[in-house]
Amino acid sequence: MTALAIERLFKSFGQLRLFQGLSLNVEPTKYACLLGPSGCGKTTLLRLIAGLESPDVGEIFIDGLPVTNRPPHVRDIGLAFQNYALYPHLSVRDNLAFPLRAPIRRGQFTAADIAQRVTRVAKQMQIEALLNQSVGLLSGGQQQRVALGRALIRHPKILLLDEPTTHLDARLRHEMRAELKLLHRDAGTTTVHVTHDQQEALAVSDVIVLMRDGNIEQVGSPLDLYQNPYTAFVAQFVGDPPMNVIDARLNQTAGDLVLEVGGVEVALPPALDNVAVRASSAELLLGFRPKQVEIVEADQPGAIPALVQMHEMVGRELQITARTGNGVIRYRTTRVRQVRLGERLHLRLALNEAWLFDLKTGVTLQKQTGDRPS
Amino acid sequence: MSNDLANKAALPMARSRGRALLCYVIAFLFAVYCIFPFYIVITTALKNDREIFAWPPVWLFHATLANFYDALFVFGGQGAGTFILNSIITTGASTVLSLVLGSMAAYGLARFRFRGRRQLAFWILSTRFAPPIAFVVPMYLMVLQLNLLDTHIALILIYTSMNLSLVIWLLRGFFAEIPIEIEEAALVDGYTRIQIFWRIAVPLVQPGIITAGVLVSIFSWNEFLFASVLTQTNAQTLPVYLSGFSNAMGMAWGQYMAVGVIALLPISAVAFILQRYLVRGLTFGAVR
Amino acid sequence: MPTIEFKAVSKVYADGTHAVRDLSLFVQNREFLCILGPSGCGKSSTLRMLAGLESITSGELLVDGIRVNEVPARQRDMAMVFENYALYPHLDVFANIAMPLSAKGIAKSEIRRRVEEIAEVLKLQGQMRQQPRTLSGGQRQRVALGRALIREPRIFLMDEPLGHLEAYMRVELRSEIRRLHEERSATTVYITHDQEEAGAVADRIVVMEQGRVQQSGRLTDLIDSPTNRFVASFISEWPINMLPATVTTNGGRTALCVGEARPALTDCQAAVLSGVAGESLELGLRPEDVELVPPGGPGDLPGRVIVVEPQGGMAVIVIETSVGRLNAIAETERTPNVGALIGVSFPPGRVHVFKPDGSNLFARDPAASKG
Repeated sequence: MTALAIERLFKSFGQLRLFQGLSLNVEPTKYACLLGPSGCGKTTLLRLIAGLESPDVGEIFIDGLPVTNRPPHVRDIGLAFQNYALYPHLSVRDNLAFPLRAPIRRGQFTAADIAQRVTRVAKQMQIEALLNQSVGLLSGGQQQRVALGRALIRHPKILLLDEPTTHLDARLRHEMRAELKLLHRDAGTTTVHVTHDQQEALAVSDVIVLMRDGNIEQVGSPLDLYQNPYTAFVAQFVGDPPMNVIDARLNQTAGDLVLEVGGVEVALPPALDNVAVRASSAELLLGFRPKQVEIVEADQPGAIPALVQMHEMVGRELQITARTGNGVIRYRTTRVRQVRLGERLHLRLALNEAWLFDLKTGVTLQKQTGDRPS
Repeated sequence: MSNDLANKAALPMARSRGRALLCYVIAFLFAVYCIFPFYIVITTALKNDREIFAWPPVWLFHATLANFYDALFVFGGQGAGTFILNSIITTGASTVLSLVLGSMAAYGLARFRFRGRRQLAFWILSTRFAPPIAFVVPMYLMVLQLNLLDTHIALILIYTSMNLSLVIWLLRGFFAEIPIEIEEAALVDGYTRIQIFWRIAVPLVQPGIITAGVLVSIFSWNEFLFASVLTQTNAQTLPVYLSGFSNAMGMAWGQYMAVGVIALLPISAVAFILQRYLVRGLTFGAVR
Repeated sequence: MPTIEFKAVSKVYADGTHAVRDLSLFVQNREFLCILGPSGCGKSSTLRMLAGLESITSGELLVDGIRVNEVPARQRDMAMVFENYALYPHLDVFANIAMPLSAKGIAKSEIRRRVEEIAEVLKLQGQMRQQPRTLSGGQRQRVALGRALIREPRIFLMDEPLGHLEAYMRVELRSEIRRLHEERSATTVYITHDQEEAGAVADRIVVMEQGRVQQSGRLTDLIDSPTNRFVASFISEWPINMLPATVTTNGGRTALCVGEARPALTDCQAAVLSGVAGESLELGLRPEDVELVPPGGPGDLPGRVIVVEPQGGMAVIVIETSVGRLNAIAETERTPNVGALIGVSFPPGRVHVFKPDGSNLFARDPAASKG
């Protein structure tokens, strides 16, 4: 039985038809991230799971029990809001205890139970020293921990996190990621975490649900999304620096399939030979990593002409963004050199591994492992 | 170069010192203007008849509480005691009622989307447009028909209805300021909307409630028009009583002032104690 | 094309705030200089003094060698782009861009020509008749850029121009800004709190904190040789690891002690450290520089892997040691498992040692700390 099952969800906002038949399953104890650019529907989906919004059509099941259209408090969930949403007039202790004191649960928890749980959660979140403080005086990071503690105190079946690290500074963000992972390992709570930051999703998840315009683009482990992207969109969204995806052409010369980029022949790794035959047309998309690019002289074989669009230092590496006739290529190297904007370069692709996508749909031509997105 | 700057800096300083002095003088005069009536009332209440009419005015005098005693217990057969009580009852009840009903209406207007919300809000505001005197006669007739003349209930209901629009108007802004996520968090935590209203929303608009409460109390306490028309002996309030203070021998100034002091005291005390909330309340909701 | 020089410039506001203290900075001809720092560090005040929007409390500001302290803003021939765009809301895009020229009484046909040229460069041709409130954030910022560009100023000033834009728009616009800078051979002074942005556009970066210049140089210099703890923490792709450390000198041999570890030192480093034996210091090492080795090596810090965060081609490894938590970066293929025992090795060339006052004992070139 899945911890969370969403079936054929439809949701519109006025004219905007956001979800048109979305389905999703999350296994128990898994840490799932809803990842995507702004507007893809990830926050709305989280609110639908929480019960703060209702679907137009569709069913939601938590632990096998139907909860569609039922209010949040019967769904056995914990929700940590993006802006923390702590109760400003209560102390940290009272904030944590608030869910346990709801009249609907009268009789379930004695005062001793509540005190015990509050202490335990405070210890987990490392906020014991703050228990008697008013929440207005807390820093962002501290408020975040209180919000998390409040979400966890009822031992919910599913923990929902709405962009938990967005408002934290870089150092705290990294710290919080490690802590979320450790927390999940200790407690084993099924978690659904919304973020637009692919770095974060890769770091913390067991499974990533990549969304785009109300649809699920791919569901898979971090490694899966990185190594076997289902579409060109996934390939370019995940990973830093993201994969380069450019137009390419398949030519048949003397019975062999050869890849051509802007008139320049590019050697395909042998593993992709039987992939290439699946192409529906000669035109397709070629994906490769930034480190598979090298700058060469114009007369070298496989040299693709390119114009430098941007050069920047990323840490110790030089990143060059160059425009070719077939698309934009990003290239990173530790060998720093002087580059000018508009400079003419020649790039060669060293494709020990590569990815091929259909030009029209963006879908990969390679065999897929992992869940089929709906 | 720094001399230059220093010179430029010196000039505005001198000018501003003179300006500051002028501001202080004006403020002082204004303060005197405001406080003087209170001063007269309080000192007259404490003087005996001879001192009251002495000219030039007597600054140092023997303070006596005889006037207060007369006013409270002797005058007109029963003293002012009953009327003070009536005022307290009507003011207190109408304040509580308008706060309770008004806060719920304000919350509804702030939080829920429904058709005609804007129109409703405007209509509520519009009840303050017309001068109250226009309603005196109809009100009198209605109260008469209901056999509620000279009762506390009549005044309480009327004051409540008159104050509701102020309370709603003031509190709506406050409620709207509460981030919706806090209430959603409470929903997730297991609270119903009513519980959220009382436990989360109301505590968070405390400054607004205090402000509204103080303003409503002041209004009700001082209200004269309806009280004079609708009450006689049973439910008569302080302002009406005060107005009937002259007798055959002319105005009993000392006792009159004494009752005046008693009329002033409760409201002034409340406003003074709660002034911190008042300032916050008046500016907070106003910027909408 | 002019140079800019700040000579011991200070700014004290009327309420007593010391926004800028004793700033000395030289901007080369055609340089793209970035002033980088957290909010409140004084970078905005510095830019505003340069523009003439704030008075200079003490010190001299020279442009092309000429003192300009008292020159009013409109005569300084500088164009400024603000964080909040500062567009004229009642004018359309064309009028907004044309505004600086209209003030100068240039012929209408000439104005039209120049505005259309700029509009093409900034891809605003389709929006010329629209008002700012109908434009997206990125478009508005382009209009602001256009308005700055049209004056063909000698100096560009930009105050966090991309702060309010979404990530992808920031990336797009910053390459445009860099391109415009190069095409016009301008001298640009650019303010930001985002070090990734600074690395992307700047020739040279000046790091400010609490009104003072902390360090100035190229990004690689700031990464490899930070002068103090603040710069080391602020300029970092991954949060820098800071571990408590002490120095012992036994029989003439200087050793750096970090928990159980005795990191290898060059002779030069050992000589520097011998002077601070006994003090409580901090060792700084960037996660990308941490070397993970099999446990048990002498001189290495033993630890246990508690979290592995995949990041595509590589992963962040969080290690628990006797002196605290440590982050390391490893390639995916060579990522250890959670729970594995591991050794942390400190490459001498990458290690920094900080004194309690924050200064870096291993800073390679102290002279580089001044602008």
